[in-house]
Amino acid sequence: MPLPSLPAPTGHGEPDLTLSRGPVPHRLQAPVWSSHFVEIGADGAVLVRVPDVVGFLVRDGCKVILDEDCDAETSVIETFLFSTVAGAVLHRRGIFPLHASCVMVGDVAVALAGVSGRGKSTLAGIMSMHGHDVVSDDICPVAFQNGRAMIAPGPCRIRLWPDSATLLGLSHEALDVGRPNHPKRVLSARGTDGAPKPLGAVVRVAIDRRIETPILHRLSGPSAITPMEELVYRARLGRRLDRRVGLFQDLVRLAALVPIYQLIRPEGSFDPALLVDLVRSTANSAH
Amino acid sequence: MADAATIGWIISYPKSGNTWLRLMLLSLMQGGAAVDINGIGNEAGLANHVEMDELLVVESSELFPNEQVAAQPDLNMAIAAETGPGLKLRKVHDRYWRTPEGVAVFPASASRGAVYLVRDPRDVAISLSHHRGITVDSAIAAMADPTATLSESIDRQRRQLAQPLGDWSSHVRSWMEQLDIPLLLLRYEDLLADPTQGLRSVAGHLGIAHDAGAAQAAVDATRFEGLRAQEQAHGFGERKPGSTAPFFREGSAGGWRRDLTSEQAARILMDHGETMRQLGYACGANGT
Amino acid sequence: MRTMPTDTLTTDTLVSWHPEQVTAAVDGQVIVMGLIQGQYVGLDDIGSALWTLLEQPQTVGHVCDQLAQQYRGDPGVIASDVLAFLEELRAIDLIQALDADSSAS
Repeated sequence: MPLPSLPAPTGHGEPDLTLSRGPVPHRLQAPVWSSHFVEIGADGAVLVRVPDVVGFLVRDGCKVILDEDCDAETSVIETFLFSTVAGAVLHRRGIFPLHASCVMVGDVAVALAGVSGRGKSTLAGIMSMHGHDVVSDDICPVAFQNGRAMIAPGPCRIRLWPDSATLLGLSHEALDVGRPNHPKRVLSARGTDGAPKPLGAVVRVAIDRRIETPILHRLSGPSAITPMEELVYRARLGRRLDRRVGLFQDLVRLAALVPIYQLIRPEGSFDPALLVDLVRSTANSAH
Repeated sequence: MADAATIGWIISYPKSGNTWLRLMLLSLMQGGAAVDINGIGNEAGLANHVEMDELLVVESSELFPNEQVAAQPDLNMAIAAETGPGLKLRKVHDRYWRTPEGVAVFPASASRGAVYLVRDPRDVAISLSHHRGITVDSAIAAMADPTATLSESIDRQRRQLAQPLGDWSSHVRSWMEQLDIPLLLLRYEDLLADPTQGLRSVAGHLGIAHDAGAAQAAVDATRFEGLRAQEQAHGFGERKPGSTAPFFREGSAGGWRRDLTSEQAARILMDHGETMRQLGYACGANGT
Repeated sequence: MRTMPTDTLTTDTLVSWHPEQVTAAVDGQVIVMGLIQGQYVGLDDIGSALWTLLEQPQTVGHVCDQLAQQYRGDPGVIASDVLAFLEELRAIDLIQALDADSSAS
């Protein structure tokens, strides 16, 4: 089925992940874990359901089945496919999902990381408006190859609340619809080709109501990678899929290969250009 | 499966002393240790979007409000389950409510107890006007609004999940009249007059083991002057941008007599008099 | 699963890394994740040095002696600090206390 968001694939050979329509149960028979939206079966299958909207079954980490009874628009399918379902696939395959929006700064990728609401997407949008290509929004699959951390590009579509759109000087109409009637909309940013990009820096975004200008500083030691939830997409799901040790080891490896920064931004209004300069500066750091 | 935590809900209408009580309890649970007002983080915090994202594994910002509401009972169960055994304190500003399907948002099975901290609505109105940077008249109107809700995400992401408040009287009543969770009703004014006694009654209700020394130490560690001094020195993360006063502003009772016009005081009495009298406010002549 | 009685640690107690933990280092500082409770702890320089000593079973007293050689300080204070620290680590199953009469299993 067509997914307009994904970059054109590079490389050859059979796809190692298929997406198709098929029967998807409402609930699993005997889940080993469940939440309101996600269930994990004893065989490692992951069911993702948004009640009355969309359902997916992830089998063996390589087959994603979209509920054939689902009549949601493509934009709705993509909303949940590229969030929870992608997270389930990556954890199931043992791939480290960095919870970050990622942009190119020169030849390297800079990942803007943190839990929901920190402004990762908004900051990626700001970088995009200043000429930086978008590698991915919200989830960055990281592979460790030849002593480097590499990011696999994903959809270069950035999801924004109206106030963020305004900050970027974009009108509501200029953006694509995500979920119909939902305030969040989608910026189709300029992306990269599908080849993996070397990760040059991880920038953890934090908010402090008490400051007026943003602060950037380098993190070192264990606090650079804790708490895990700031860097790992849906860590709880990963732990339930036997990735507790693997994610820990991947975080340690990430810290050994890539400089990790903290960018603390004010909550109120501030000059976005300041942030752009600070993010750009991280790409030049030696490690 | 390991024992889940049980939750001690610390409930109040906004600006009724919730932060102070939580700081006291957190100090007590560490034997009366000093507290850093900016160090509590999400300890004993409000339900927020990060928790829904991480615990229920969903992109909550892409859900509609009714979808988030339907998931809230599960979120509260997950908060209890994800913590180790023992007591977990949670701050609540919501009135007591159920989802449209009739499921209690605050599940009894995950709850050890609830403490409702109530404050004279006339003092609440003044505190609310400072906190939100609005006129006292606007604050009084907000307190009488049956549709009042905190933290609705309309044009921007809010940190917390939407919290239905309703008007002040209904808010108190909803918690007093629910039968699912054992409730201790505590007046802010009584806590102010004898904080050690108040703290010990709360600790007793929630099953927090302690001795008199620890309770006294917790009270000393959270004296108003100390909290205000910390805010002056380091700021305070819970203070709203746009607030016209420090978060730890006055810490007393009865300031309304000085700060409300008689017309404003009468309006509050008209809006909430029945509940006020039931709680021991406005019992004297002329609503004193 | 703990089979030892939970007596207070003393300087004679034999302690070592718990088998159910993963140790790593970030910028030379130790980070340990316990697999039983899922908690992880980042250690400062002294904590990291102490942790390194515990890879093989040692008595608490021996650990204190080695730390006293590396870091100046009152031996009594070092002992009480170390004992308190080890109790915290044991509470989250990062270390184990072994029977003083037997070797590590």
